Amino acid sequence: MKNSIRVERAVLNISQAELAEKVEVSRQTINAIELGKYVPSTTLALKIARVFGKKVEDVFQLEDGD
Amino acid sequence: MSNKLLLHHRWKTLGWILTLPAFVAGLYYWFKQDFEHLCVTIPGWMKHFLWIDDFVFSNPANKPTTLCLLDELISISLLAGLLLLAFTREKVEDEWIQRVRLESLQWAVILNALLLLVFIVFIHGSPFFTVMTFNMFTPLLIFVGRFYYILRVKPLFSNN
Repeated sequence: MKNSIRVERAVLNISQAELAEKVEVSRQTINAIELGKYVPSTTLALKIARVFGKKVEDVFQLEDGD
Repeated sequence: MSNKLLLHHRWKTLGWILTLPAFVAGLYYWFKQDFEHLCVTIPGWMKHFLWIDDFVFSNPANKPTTLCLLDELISISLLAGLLLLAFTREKVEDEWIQRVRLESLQWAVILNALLLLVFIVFIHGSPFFTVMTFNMFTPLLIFVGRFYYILRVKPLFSNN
């Protein structure tokens, strides 16, 4: 699964730590998600998308291997 | 791992206080091969509560016996400390940390079993007692080691 969290963060100009605080997880979780090492739960994905003001599908996309 | 099973974050300090000295002391006295310290005399009537060699079965006259407590104290401190370290909440206990916790538990069980397999094949007789002694602690040690490595050490090496 790919995600555009890093891009969206740059648009809003917030750090991983700030995003983590907004969605109430640890900074390492955001880092793991950005690096593709961790797939967030539906709830967390919805919360992240809400911070960016986007739909979930605009932030997270399925890849062929999924 | 269910949140309900985890202790509050404040217990972590006690975990370190119990684990680190016990770990160092354990290794030190083990290398010295001398745990004969802090010995107490056990009165004969305690044979109904403690199982110490022939103290229980071949002791009709209720004679007292000696018990050296150093190894017990070190073991209890180490085990209790490791349990606290393993099963206390992190400050932010989120879904990724729960995943790391589960993976570390799997690592600990699998690695411990594999190591034990290898040692069973290559070590026999009295030296195997050493294997068993270490095996009391290795599952929790591997879990705590892997868990804190992922949480604290690995982020230092990443370029983020």
